[in-house]
Amino acid sequence: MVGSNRFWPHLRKTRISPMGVLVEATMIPPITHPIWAQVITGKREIPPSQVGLNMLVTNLRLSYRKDPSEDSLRNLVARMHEFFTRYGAHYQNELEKILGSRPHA
Amino acid sequence: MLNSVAVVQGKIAAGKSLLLAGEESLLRQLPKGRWIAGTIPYFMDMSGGVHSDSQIFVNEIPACASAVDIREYTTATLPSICLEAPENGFSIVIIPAGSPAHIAYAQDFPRYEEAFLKPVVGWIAGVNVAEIGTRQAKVFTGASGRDSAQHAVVMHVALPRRKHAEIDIVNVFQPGPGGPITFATSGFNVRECRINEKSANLARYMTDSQIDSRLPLTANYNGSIVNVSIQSVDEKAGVVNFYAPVFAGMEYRFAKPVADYVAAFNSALPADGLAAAFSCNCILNYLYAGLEGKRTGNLTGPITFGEIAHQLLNQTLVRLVIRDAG
Repeated sequence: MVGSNRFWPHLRKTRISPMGVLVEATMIPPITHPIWAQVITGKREIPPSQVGLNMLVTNLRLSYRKDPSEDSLRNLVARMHEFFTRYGAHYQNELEKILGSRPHA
Repeated sequence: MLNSVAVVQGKIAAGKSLLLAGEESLLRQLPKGRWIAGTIPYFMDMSGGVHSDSQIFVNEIPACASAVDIREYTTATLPSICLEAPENGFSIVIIPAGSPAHIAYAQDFPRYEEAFLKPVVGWIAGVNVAEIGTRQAKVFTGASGRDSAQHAVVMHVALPRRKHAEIDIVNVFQPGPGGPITFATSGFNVRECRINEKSANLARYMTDSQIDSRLPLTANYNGSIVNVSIQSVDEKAGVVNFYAPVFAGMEYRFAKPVADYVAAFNSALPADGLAAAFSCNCILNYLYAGLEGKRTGNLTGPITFGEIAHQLLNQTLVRLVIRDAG
């Protein structure tokens, strides 16, 4: 196991890495999954990570505070989801921690 | 590393893809080829910080690169910079200090389509600090032989699937204990702000609190500390000018003083020992910390008027490394 994803155990799968190695990985939750909106609205923490992800999260949260409409949230969620869709293999720890954390009230 | 003009001419003739930095008169002697450049006479070389008017700093694009695409961007086309970047790879951008492209990139990058989804690093070209205000920084596009004081130049570099590029920043500054400072509008200069949720004039606050203007404002981006450096404080006019924009809604704090920059820097360097495909450091670190002749780890590159790790940064070292994918 990469981590302890006890809240969403169905989001586990195996994949072939670019180096040709079979690895176990956490699936990227679909764009409709509530965790993405919870991260954007600040209800769910995301651990400090590489500078690109840190800047993305902060800028998305800033945009949400300026425009908290549903349309805006949908667009911001799409950008966050796109990041993990592209780079999920490099951000397994972050994904595990997001999925393993409890949202704030 | 630093090379003579003749050596750089040879590398260009050999068809290498190059990122170059140096005095304008040196860059003008280079033939057309697969290179981009910006003006600056300050560098981190293997021997330490150095000011050179006679040599050009050379970064060779790693041999593993699968394609290189050189483009110029105006303020109108800059928003597509990430869209035009390769799906797997990185982009190096060089922008002349004080140009419309500099202002536009600094203020608008977070809103560019696909911003933060692809690695973008780079730097702001400058001039000898004794010539600020009398000479213009420039960028050069080797592919066309053109130079510009207005536009950005970008080298998009594609990598094979088995490699991926990653950006690190090394920032020795940490937020100090002062209250959070927020701004109602984004920009390179401010008058009013809120400090500890009370209205205040930042210039007056800095004077009254005897804040050392060499210390940047810091903002915490989910654990990455991003600096905005002070260019000038005009107490009479009540205006503070910055080297990068502050953003409305972000919380800033003045940085704690750093007693020994070189020691702090060396302890903050990543311990992975990976060779950087590209790195750059800030002219303010060079000047304020007296880096001439001092080594900062094994990282080399131009010392610049602004560093780019996705967004424009100040007083920060930026490093790009190429790793094996998964």
